Amino acid sequence: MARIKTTHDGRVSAEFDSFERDMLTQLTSELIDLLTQTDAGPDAAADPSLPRDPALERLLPDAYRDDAESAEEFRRFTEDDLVALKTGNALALARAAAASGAVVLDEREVLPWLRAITDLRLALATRLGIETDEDEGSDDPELAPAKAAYWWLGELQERLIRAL
Amino acid sequence: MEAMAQISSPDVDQELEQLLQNQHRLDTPWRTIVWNDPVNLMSYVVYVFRSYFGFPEDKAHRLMLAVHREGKAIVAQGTREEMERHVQAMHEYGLWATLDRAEL
Repeated sequence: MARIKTTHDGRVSAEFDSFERDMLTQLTSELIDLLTQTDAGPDAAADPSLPRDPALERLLPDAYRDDAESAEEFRRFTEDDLVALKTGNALALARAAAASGAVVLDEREVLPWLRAITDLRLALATRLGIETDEDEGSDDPELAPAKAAYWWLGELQERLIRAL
Repeated sequence: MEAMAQISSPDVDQELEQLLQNQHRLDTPWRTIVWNDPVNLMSYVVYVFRSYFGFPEDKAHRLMLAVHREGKAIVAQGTREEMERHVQAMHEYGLWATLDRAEL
């Protein structure tokens, strides 16, 4: 497991092994593809009947539950920014994964990580069919790496929050 | 300003205050709801409530438990614009949030 420590000056130090770095690199690149392939903003808003990837639905949810018109309008005004922010968060994590040795972050810099980890877990959970609090994820052997990554990311996030 | 002070009286002030309060009530029946999802960690939800809304630890924890056990919690009430900002922020954090108009 990644080594997460609080430094003497109150910052957070994170160090990944090469397996973890490769995993983070791959996952963040998949997340960025998912977020950007879509052209999610204008196109989806222009034609809401287009089916979207379920993972994307969860990353960019409706702001209104029973009011499709307001939900669409909200999406039209906010979704590009949300996609840009989430992409930036994933890039921040990808950059850290590319670095060898420990990465030291102050509290402000931990935030994009926490958000990117959340987005990665949301996307993975959709793939793994995790829909209720009791679900532990698909037992399909092909999804075993995704499942391992999902639980690993949860542990990583827990440790980062504790280190704050 | 001085002229204003002269025509101002406690009665007028009170009426004005009442009018403003009514207006505020009309403007603010919107609420931000955070929904339970099976993915987000309890510790993360508490962290978000504390750092974004500035809630004290016990309130953040109580709201997180309400989301977890009851499936949702109202985390803020106010104008539609304010609630849209909150919902957008929750989506930035990866929490599942919506806004709606509270029953009057």
